[in-house]
Amino acid sequence: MRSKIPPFLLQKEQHKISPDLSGSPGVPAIDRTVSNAAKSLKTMYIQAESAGNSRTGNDLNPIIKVVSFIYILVIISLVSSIVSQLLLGCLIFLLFVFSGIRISGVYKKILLPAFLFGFLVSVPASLNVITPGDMIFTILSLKKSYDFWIYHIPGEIGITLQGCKIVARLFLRVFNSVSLSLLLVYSTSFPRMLKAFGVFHIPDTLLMVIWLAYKFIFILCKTVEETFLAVKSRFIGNVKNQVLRKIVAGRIYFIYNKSLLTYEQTYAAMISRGYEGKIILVAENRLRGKDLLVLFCVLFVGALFLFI
Amino acid sequence: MHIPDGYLSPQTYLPLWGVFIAAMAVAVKKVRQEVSVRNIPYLGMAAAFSFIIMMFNLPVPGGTTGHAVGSAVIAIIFGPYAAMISVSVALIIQALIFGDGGITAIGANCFNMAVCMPFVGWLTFRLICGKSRKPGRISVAAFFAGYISMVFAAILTGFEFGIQPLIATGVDGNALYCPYDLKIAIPAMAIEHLLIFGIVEGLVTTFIVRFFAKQENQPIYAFRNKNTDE
Repeated sequence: MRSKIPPFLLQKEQHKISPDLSGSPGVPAIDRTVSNAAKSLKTMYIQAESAGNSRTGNDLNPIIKVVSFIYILVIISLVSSIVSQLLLGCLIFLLFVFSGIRISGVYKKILLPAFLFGFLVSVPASLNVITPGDMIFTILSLKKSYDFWIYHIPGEIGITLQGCKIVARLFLRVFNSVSLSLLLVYSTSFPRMLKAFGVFHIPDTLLMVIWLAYKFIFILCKTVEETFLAVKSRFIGNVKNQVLRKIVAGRIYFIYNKSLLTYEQTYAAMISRGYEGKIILVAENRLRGKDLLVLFCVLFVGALFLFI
Repeated sequence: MHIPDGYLSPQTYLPLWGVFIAAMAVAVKKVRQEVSVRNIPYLGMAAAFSFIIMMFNLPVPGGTTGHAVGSAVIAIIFGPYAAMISVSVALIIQALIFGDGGITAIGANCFNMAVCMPFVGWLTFRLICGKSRKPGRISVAAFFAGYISMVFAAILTGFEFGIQPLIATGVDGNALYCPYDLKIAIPAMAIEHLLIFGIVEGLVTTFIVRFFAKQENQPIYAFRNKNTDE
């Protein structure tokens, strides 16, 4: 049976506005950047606000969590043995498991920065040009060694055992630090974490500034997204770079004005609620025996790693 | 330019934490004097603004895009002390929530990008622009403020990396932290920032400052008369 639908309705769309892939950045590229940044900001905000729903360690005092976190971070930076770093990595992995956090998702987030900052940046240090030592693999043989200015290029360039150890140590250190940071982020909400920082005698003024900035960022982020959607709707196809620069600079100015307005409104709201220039942060619960026991265990285990 | 955890030895990150804390204390005091009791939400807003600025990618001649660290532009718009606090807070939030930059390295990152960078940018801008309000002069001053502050911060970061093999080595004489010495770390950081990132920072600073300078209500701190501040 022949279709009665008119042919123009069956015709595939030919006039799609495609993003400019020729190398010249257009609105879609900027839009993509803004929407991606806004998306990751929102994801992290939800994560930071809803953290603390994990099984183990949820009821621990955040002060103990933050103190333990900083102590272990310092231990990670002090430990130079590769075996100790591996053991620390296993310990953090176990803490993730016991916390009931989804391992695969978290380790995907850990591996990228660990690979970029821990491996890629340090990998040239495995070469004998930077770390002389016992050669385990030759990459290039030159006719002779070269000297220019303050640099020396040996006749044989390759990977050394000592260089590999340096790369492994740096990779593991970055990997463990990122893992530990994410463990804290996933197990303690940002507001509780911030209050816990008071234990280090950080002035309340500064904590309040951090807290307000944290809130403002997500309010402004929504504004950025909405204004870009509005800007995008005014343009079809590609836009000249000069025009685009004006648009972006204009949006930044708009965000500045919006920020000022938000600040005025926040200040008015604070005044109406009795703000007189003094900041009072609600104190966390008192330390219990269980919290002190956990702190003692962390201090002991951390010290143990220094002597392995 | 965000230094991750693991690259700096405690001999480096602890003193830099100390310098950063001292600098912050001075900045908080100065800003309190300038903006009275309204300082808290004002600074929070400035920090959020500096964080958001880092989100924007601007097209720069040559077909690429880049985003600013924003320290120089924040210093020109809000003043150097407010920039010090706002960029520090933005960096602290980045490190704590987004894992961008290390926690032990917060002191070093803030020292480079929130203490030194805004002041270098601010001084360069004031030096070149002077009392002139000519658009061309403002553009040149803003470009060099962004460019010089970025390159300065990069060289400083390179220096912090480069001293690691000198101050923290194992019993075998090998580096325990950043393995690149001064003759590698400084040129590596300086060259890429002199040729690429410094120019991007300079251009981004120029575009934003030029746009702000055109506005009737003149929101730029650097152009304000000190007597009419409050």
